[in-house]
Amino acid sequence: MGVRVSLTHKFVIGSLVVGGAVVAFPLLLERSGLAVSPWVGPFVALGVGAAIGFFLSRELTRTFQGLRTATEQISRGDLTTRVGLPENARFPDETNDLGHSIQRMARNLRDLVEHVQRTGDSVSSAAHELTRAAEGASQSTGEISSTVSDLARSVAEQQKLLNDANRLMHEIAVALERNADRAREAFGFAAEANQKAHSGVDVARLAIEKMRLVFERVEQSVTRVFTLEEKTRHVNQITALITSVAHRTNLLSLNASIEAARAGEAGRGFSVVAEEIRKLAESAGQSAEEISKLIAEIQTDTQAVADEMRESSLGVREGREDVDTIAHSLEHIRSAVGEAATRAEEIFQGTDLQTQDIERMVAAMDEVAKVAEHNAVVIEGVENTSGQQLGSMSEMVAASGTLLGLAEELQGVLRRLETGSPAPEEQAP
Amino acid sequence: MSGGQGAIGAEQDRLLAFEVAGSRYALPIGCVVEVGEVAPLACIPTLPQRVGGVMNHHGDALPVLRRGVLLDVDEEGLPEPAHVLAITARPSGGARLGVPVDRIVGFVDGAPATALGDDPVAERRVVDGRVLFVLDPQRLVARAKDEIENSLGKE
Repeated sequence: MGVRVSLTHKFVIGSLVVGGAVVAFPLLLERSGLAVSPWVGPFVALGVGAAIGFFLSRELTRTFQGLRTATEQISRGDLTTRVGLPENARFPDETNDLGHSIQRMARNLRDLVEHVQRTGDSVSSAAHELTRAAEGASQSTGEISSTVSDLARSVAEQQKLLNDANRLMHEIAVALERNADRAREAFGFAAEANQKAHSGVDVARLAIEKMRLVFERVEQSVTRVFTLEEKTRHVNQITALITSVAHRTNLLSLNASIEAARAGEAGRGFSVVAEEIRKLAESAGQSAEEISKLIAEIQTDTQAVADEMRESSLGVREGREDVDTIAHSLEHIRSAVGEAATRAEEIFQGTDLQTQDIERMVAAMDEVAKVAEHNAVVIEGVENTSGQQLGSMSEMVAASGTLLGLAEELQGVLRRLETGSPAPEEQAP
Repeated sequence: MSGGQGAIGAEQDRLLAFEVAGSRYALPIGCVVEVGEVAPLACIPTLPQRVGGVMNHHGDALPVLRRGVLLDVDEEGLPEPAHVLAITARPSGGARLGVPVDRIVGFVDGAPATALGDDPVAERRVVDGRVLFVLDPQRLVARAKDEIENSLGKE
């Protein structure tokens, strides 16, 4: 490291050296005794001055040549250039400072460019990311817009369905109201039927009691007919006995007549008696036969009557069972009608409750329809906003594209500046 | 008929009229022992039941032949006989025979008749507008005897 001497000092020193040479050299010559022209001193001083000027200017030229080379390289974008200053300048001056300043400037500029390059790279990368993000966001926004459109259509459809449901609920409410009226009428009819069933059961009971009396009388008649049949059979047995007696008497009279005839004249009177007895027996037999026939006819008729009465008795028994069944059935009918009336009342009350519930439901459906309508309006606003956002996102995509272009342009510009660092593409894995 | 046919005369002039299968027959009253009730017939060994059997008649065995065998009538569809006439071959006695009849008509005045051949019907008379077959008791008993003897051991 030499001694730093400024150009002013150097100029002063040179001037002093030249001036001193101009002054000192004639003096030296005079003292040395050499006879030289008076012009030699100035010329020698000029020569010394020229030599000093030559050395100094050569030094300056070298320095400025290095500076010029460095600045030209910097102007070409090569920021890696080094200012070619003498390594071991004995007397560095402002040019050396200028070189060092240019060197620092180039280094700082390189650092700045590198920083700007890195920043540009980051901006480019961010622009890329932003573009991708903007495109993604635009696509998402498009999807959101599409979804919102679908949602709007769904909401519109929902609103339509809600309107239909609301209308159906109104119709159901009307139908329920009508059903309630009919249930009320049914309850009235059931109550009336219940009352009539009660009356009918009472009347039926009276009729059943009368029928039971009739049945009892018929059964009494049947019993009497059976008794008559029994007595007739007894009379028939008696008649058969009479017939048998008459038959035997006839037979005896016949045998008596035969014996009287066989007795000849002695049996004539006995024969007459026997003949009379036989006639009486025949007459009794004929009468008994007639009685028997009559009794047989009576028996036949009585038997027919008895059979009919027996059948009637069976019919009466069945009729009594039927009447009992009818009574039970009427009782069941009355019970069932009463149960039906109770059920009808429950239905009527239940229908009233249902009507109230359905009215509340209709009111709720109205509220839901209003909310759905409001939702439709909101969704429509969201759809418009989504469309606008989609437009904004398109603009953002365009802007990010522009930013990416600018970043790439900046990278292109910065790429022309040589900093000695590896390029971002080279750095990137 | 019986009373109206005439007054009671001698034994030889009176007949007992009866009906079998709708036809009227008559037997001399002297040969009629009794008019009896129909009793169950007991079988005679080796004698077919379609021919006849024996009946208890006051403790004695009275042979009884069926109407179809004795009088050549068709018994098909006939009711059961109402009486059985216990007769003898002759008024003085002899073999007894039971004749089943449908109905006793009564007494008829008239003399008995004697059959000339094997047929027991000795004579045909018209009484009260109807034909009366007068039977010969001897021939009737003889027919019964022949029928029994012919039928014994055949089944």
